[in-house]
Amino acid sequence: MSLERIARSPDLVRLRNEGYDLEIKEGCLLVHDVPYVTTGRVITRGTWVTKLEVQGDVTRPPTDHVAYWCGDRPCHSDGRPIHAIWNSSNKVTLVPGVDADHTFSAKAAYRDYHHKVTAYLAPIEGEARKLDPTATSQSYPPVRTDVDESVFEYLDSATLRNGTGALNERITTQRVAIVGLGGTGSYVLDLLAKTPVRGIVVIDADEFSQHNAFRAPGAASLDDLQKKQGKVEYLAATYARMRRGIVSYRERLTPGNARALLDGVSFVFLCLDESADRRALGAVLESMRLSFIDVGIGVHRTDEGLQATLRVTTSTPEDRSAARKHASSGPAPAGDDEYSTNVQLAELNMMNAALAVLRWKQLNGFYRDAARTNHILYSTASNDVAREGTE
Amino acid sequence: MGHEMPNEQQDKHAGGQADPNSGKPENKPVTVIVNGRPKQVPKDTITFAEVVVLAFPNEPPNPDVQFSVRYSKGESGKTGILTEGQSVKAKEGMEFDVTRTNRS
Repeated sequence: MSLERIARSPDLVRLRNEGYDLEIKEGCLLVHDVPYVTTGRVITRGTWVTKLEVQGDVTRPPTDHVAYWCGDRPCHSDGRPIHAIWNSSNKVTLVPGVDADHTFSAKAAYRDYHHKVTAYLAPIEGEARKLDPTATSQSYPPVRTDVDESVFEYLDSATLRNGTGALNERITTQRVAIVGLGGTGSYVLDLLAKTPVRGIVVIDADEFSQHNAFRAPGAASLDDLQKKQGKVEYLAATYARMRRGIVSYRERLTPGNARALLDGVSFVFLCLDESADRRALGAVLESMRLSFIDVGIGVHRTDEGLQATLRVTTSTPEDRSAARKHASSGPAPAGDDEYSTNVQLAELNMMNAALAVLRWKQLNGFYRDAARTNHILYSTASNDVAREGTE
Repeated sequence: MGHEMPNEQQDKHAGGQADPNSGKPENKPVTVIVNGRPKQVPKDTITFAEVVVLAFPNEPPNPDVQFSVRYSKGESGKTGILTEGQSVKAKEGMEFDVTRTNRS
């Protein structure tokens, strides 16, 4: 029974949410890391095991009251073996791969497996707690997942706890691309990596240098910088620690290579620098029938400090107008206004990335979209969001 | 406004004769803030192009480069976006942000 299928049995869900270190193996439930007292009056950890009675993938109230133990005989705090629950001390192989040292028998009508586990563990743990009040089997361990179970290396317990799993339905089937892993793109990656999107393609030709570290999530080390990696290398490796399915291309996206690099992708985040030809790239993405979000920041100096505008422009097959209207096709002229600046700041990149990811989640039914606007401008000075074309 | 008659009341619409902006209140210019800098504009509608020129007076128009123009504290406290060809009513204290939002 996979971890996702635990979710269908309320008693197992309750045990996991209460922090028990559960494993399901060959139709058996194992509870690891149970503290017990040995005959030498030392606290050690053992594993308690029961066979699971199921209907399909869902547990049934247990009719079998027997349980098993991997470890030495659990004792009272004075070192006398606990007799009441014990049955025999012959090595048993429950199923291939699950061996036990002792058999327990505490006859009772167990309502469910939460009842059976807690009823059996209470006397064992209770004796351990007489010697150490902090001893507990409720250790809330991080739960590793298998490749076919999840895109994440470990269980997304936040989503399980807050019940937003169903809202992720459209997201889990998508493969998205982030073009440009500069300040904004790196924060988009940080956020997308934590969603159950099926795959993430990252595209950027540049090196991850010292100044980039001050506009990227997390904290690069001097070692990281000295390796002189590409942005895609450094960032893909960082987020691969948490999830699978990140593919990187150390290249610049062009109309010529777009079809190859974006193969299988259904959504693109354009996080481009000022020299990019957004019109040409937008035209190619349109011809591929892709939806995309284009972001951009502009910063000015004033006599009272900096002032920034953050843009999020959305383009879908249903509505291309905003992106076509607002796309630039080249860099700003060289003799720029004296008050303009190429200053970029992490909080601006992060905010622009957050607004973009929020918009993407709206398009996928995760957040409600009342405004239905495909072009927004946030101003730091006014601290509000201007929207275009609201219904 | 003509010569004064000693026994008549002063003209109620007093005001200088030479200044075209004074006299009726609706002709007085308003001060709007463009990229943090105060600018005087007629109290009338102001166009996208005019706002861009106020922000970047030394720059020739360039069709390849897009400006993002937004305003707040407009009429009825409104916040909004201006695009090419559009205009909005200028109001005292109105804020305009004019930027090339093209960095990431």
